[in-house]
Amino acid sequence: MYVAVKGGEKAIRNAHDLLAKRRRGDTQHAEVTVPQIEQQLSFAVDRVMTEGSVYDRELAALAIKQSAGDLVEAIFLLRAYRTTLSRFYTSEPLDTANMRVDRRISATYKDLPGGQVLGSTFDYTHRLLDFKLLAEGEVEGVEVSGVGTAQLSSDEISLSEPVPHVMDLLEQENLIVTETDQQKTPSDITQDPPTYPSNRSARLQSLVRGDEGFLLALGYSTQRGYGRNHPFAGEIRIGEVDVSILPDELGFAVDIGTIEISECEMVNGFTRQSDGEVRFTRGYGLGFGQSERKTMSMALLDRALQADDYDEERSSPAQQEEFVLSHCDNVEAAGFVSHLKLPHYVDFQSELELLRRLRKESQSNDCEGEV
Amino acid sequence: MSDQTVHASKVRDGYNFAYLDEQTKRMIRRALLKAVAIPGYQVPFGGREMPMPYGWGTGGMQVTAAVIGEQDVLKVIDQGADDTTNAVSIRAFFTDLTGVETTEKTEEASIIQTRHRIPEKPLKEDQILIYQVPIPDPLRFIEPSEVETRKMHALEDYGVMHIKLYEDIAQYGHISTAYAYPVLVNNRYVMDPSPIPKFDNPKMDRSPALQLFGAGREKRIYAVPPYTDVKSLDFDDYPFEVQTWEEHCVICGSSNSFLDEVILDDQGHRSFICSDTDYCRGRVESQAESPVASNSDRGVDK
Amino acid sequence: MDKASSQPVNAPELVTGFTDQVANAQQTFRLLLKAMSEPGVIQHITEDKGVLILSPAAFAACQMLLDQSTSLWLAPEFDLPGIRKNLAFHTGTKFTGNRVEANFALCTAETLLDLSLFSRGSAEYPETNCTMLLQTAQLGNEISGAIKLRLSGPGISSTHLLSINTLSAAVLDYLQKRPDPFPLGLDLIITAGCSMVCIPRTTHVEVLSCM
Repeated sequence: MYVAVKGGEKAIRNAHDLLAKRRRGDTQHAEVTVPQIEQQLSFAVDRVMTEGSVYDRELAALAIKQSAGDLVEAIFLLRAYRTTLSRFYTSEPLDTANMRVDRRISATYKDLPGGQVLGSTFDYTHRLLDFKLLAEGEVEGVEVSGVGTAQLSSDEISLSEPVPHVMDLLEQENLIVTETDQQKTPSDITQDPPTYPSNRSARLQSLVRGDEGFLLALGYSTQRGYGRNHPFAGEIRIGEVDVSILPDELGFAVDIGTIEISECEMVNGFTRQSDGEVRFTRGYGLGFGQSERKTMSMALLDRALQADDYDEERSSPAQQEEFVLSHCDNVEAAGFVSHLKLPHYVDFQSELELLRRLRKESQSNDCEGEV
Repeated sequence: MSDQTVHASKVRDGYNFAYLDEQTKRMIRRALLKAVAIPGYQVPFGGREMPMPYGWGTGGMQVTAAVIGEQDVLKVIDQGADDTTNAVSIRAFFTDLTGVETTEKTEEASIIQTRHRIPEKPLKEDQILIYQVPIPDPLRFIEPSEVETRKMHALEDYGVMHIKLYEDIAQYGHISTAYAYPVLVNNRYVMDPSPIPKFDNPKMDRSPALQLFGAGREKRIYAVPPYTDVKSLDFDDYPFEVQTWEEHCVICGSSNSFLDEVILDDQGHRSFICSDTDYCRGRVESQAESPVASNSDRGVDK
Repeated sequence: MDKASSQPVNAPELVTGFTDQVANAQQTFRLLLKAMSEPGVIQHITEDKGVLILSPAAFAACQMLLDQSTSLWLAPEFDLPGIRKNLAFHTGTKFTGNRVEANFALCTAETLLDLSLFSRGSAEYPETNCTMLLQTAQLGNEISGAIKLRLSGPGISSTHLLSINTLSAAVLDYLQKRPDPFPLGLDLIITAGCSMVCIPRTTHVEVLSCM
């Protein structure tokens, strides 16, 4: 006599307990703290904030601890948390021209106002595993205060002065398409479902929170000829900007905080515009913290998705708006892919029943043929 | 109160009733009212991230969260069973965030959230059946672009669907869709009934209950009001058929319900049991009360 | 002159809305959901607070439906400072003088002469229509001397009889003729006192008698 399987609740509780054990690991080692993650795994924190769409280093670090380093899971935690937050204001646009830059490079000019400031970057490290890091906190730390500004410049340039955007220089010479404020209310993808064809504000919002790996692969594909747009890194700047709001009750703007962001502007291939002039086109990328790979990929994709603006045929995956935007959110993607783990035995049984029926029919057809 | 009912309790500290904020509930409620006014049409809505992953029932949960009140009695099933892990998880969520009474008994529930099955026991007026939907558009696997499918629904141009079904017949001698079988609602919109087996499709037609559908990841809500025509697509010479089994349920003897196949050993011996665990339990209980009647009832389930 | 009364005499009064925001909104919604999915079945709210000529059922519906993302058109008889102030306070809704862009319209059923400008939605986005909140004096299944309708279609097992006191000729004409091809259309929420009933665009309406 078959006895039905029961005990789903108990199994779930036990699974949670096993997960907690795995997350903690060997108790001989000290438990990792949230401040340690926030400070020492800062690039992970940057990614989780950007894709989780919440700027809060401590919360992102907490999410990373809770998900035992599974960053997509951590991003999901932050996103779900975001749903519970009240919305008080929309901030004023960030003034990245007044960024206090820690890092600022341009591939389009050897030297330029503001200089090339390398900042903290993996770029010129040699990818050799450093076994000294295996020692636990016994290695002498680098004294940060004594380090120079990693600046490539003939003069000593003060970083406290605002650094002009490279794109402004190109715009002044009328060499590049200008980004103009269209005075329209931007879309809000967190409130409204997507519609296609999309608009640029909705596209950019989707791309900011889009999965870095997905954007990286698609950006890479444009460089290899799948929708080539001849990119140059016009500028990448990383540093702190102020966030301000303009409450109706006050009638003037007030600063509410400071955040670290990365901004990338690509200079892309030139084209003749409707006014007859030939100009470079451009792409834009933005992210929280130091997220270069992400912002560069995003800028490549932003440009690829501008295909209609330049009468380009959308022949490559990176140019397909619905394809890119429907699949770039890793919270959606991970949810749906992983949902295949859920029981599907009723639907599978439906397919089995049909398959058995088809086979039976073809067998009886064969039998009839034999007679 | 039966063993299958859990009493109402308190809402978890620090959270709004049913988790969603009131503005989100209003947005979903407005979408639901449009959905019942346009049966079978997928209303876009601003779906939110929920504490469960997309694809795991967030759409159904958002609909339930917008609809449910303190007086409701909630049943949650997955694959027809109350005890499957995800049904357990979702029911626990609503207990935690609403405190409402829950039940496993279909007839005692005012709201039933379901994944992939319609309960065997016919639903009554004032019951609400809320389906979890992964891919809301029945045309999606034929036409991936939403821009195109929106036009097709607008123009009532379902030619591609009929072609697909016809091609199945040409290749297999049957329409080869066994679940998520497309239906025509109120003689206008072709709708995806969610991945219920086609066995369940007839239950949707002119049901006295209100049927609501939520797709969280795809951000669509749709509805079928009570007493609305829901017809499974077919051809005159290839009429719609449901699944049948030669076997009966080894627990209650039913031959009219959807059966799950259970593999018993390495030799491939198999047993069949009712997918709807509450229906099965109900039959066993009534057989215990009147054992003679149950034998003659075999094959006749009401 | 009384120095204590610095307020102008006609300052509109704020009434209390839902006593329990969360529960009352949900309860009102369930009544509306049933009304819209079972056209012709009259629902009754328990809250009995209205605002001036705005009936309790209509006020409850407004509190449940409207917020910062909706736009409301007020017919002249409802466009009173007291009603505006209370709806603004309790819902935060935007007001619009433009019928074409209104998501919701609040009118008296008897005096609504022209439905032509209200949005019916589009074939691709039929849900973008305007929902009409029509206020009347009386609703019932059979009221002698009132307009009698027989309703059928989705949500109705066979037919429902509905009596309304009263509807304008324009509204009756709209319901009988259904000039917009489905899925386009206007959905009606009809209120009287503490009662409400819905006639969505899918309902087939037969006028049995118009008084």
